[in-house]
Amino acid sequence: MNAAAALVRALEAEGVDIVFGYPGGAILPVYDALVDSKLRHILVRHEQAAAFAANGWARATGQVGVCIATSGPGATNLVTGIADAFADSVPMVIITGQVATGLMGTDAFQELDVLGMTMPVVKHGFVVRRAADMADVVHEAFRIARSGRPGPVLVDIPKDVAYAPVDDRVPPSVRLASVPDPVKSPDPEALARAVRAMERARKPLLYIGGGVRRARAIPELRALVETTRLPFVSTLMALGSVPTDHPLSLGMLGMHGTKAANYAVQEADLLVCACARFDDRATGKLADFAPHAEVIHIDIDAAEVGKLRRANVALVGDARVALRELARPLESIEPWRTQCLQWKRQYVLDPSPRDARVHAPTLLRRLSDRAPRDATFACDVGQHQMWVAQHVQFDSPDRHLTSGGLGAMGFGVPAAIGACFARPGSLVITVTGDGSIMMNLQELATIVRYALPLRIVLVDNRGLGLVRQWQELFHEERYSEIDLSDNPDFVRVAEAFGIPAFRVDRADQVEHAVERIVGGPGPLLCHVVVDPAANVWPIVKPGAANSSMLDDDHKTPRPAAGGAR
Amino acid sequence: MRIVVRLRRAEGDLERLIGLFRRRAWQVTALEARAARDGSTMTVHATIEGDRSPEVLARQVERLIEVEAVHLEEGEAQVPRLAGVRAKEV
Repeated sequence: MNAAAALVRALEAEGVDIVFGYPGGAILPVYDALVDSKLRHILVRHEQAAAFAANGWARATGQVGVCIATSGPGATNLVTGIADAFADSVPMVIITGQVATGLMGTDAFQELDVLGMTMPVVKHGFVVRRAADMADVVHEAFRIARSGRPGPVLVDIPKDVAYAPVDDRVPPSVRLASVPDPVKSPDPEALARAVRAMERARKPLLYIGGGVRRARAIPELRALVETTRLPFVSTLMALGSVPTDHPLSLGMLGMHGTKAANYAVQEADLLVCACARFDDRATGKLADFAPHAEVIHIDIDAAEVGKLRRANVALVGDARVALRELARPLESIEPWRTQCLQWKRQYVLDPSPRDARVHAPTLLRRLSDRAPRDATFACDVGQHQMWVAQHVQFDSPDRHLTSGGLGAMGFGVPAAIGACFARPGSLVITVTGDGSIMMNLQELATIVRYALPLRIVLVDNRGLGLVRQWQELFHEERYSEIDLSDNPDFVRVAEAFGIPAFRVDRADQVEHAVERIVGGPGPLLCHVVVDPAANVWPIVKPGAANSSMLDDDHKTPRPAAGGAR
Repeated sequence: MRIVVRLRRAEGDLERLIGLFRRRAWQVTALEARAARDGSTMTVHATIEGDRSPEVLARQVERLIEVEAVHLEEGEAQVPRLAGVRAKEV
């Protein structure tokens, strides 16, 4: 047995049954070993899609996603997908081929320092220098990827090492799956102070972040909400941690959040931050964020506490323990709860169509109403992503796959491919844009190859809508390079790949389109033509306080302008 | 500000640490790194300048997999730790 075979055996021992990848010269030994393996390899058409698909699979399953690529350009193409996993704390193991050890450092063909190149975007990285270390390195990579705050781990394998023989008599210890590090409980004294702070507060607010799902603390979070009856706001990554249609949900906070959420944050006297990281898209101008609030910060990652906002009480460790401890009935917050719910009723996001054209929020609301509650929505990045966050209801954050921290266009289709493999038989819908889909368009071939029943809802505004919106609102309508009106005919493109497709360009076609997306067979591409001048409301100007959010009532409606006609 | 870090030797260890200083907006003004005689660890003494929280930096350093211990000094006073968080101490 050579080290490449040992790698495959170690992956199997870790419970891996699917990997996403693309072969090449330096990774040939691994692909040779795959021939004799039970691992299912999914051949994508670009390495970036391999990383995104493994990333989407990991988000959907909560398990470690695995992708494979060759050295040099294969590895560089992975980097965006790795960075995305790092930004959103997604557990992944990335396997790259490398030139032979004797050639490393000589500028050899397809040689790049992948370990160095990926350092800022991985939790850790390894170069396997000895064949005998292969299994141990793989198990260590999985342990690191799963432990604490999850993240991506690189395993770079020089070709000569991969071909080198290893002892077949593998010790039992390395045939077993790695065990994540135990999670420590938060400090009891800090927990007691947190309880007292909650009892003292008159305007407490729960601020839920994506880390709750990573901590597998959803049941404890929901129990806390029911016990305390705390109103809550969610980050983009946390939507669905408590069902988004829960009566106490004030919606998403931040740049495209609801007024109710942002007003509540501004007025709160205590913010219970459950595994969020005070990201700038959530906080707006940090100095004006929750200006009257003390902060209880729950996080497994001590480095997040105090990074951007001082915590009055830090609960570092197991979020399940912290949330259980804080789940006590709260007296005296009824007036505050009433106020929050009044804001919620007063500032409903208005999805009403304005004319005969398709209104994307309306379509998404109908899709949300008609899709089964276990449907998965995978988004790309842009206006459509924000509309999904605002208008689709989620029962679980694992049903909402979105590139939160990195905001990587091109994520949607390959991440949804990963979700299709993770949830066979379940409805998976990609909501993408005409900018985003072009970044990984080649993956339509992967959908067809594996007969994936993916529904693609392509919201086409013939431009880079969110960039155009910023240029309109914050750059005095000086439109610059946002015109994509020369995109190809997406229906014909999809059909050329072998995917049935149809176009929707009038509001009265929406109902039929939704029925076909939800009830018809997949794969399917629904090309939705929308108003190029449509904007996402509300919006907070970058760097401004959340309380200064704009909505379309504050802005005179304008006709389509600039290049995005 | 002086920071002393003990690293378990691993490929890229020093690069990871120095890169982290830069990415987190700290500037290194003096640096000494010495491997232990048995080669298993390396101790890094760095003088750094920056405007951000040294305590947060220390925790970011601790997060590196190969970091075994961190000691942080600002003037004569050691930077306080979070309650209940077991710091990696030199």
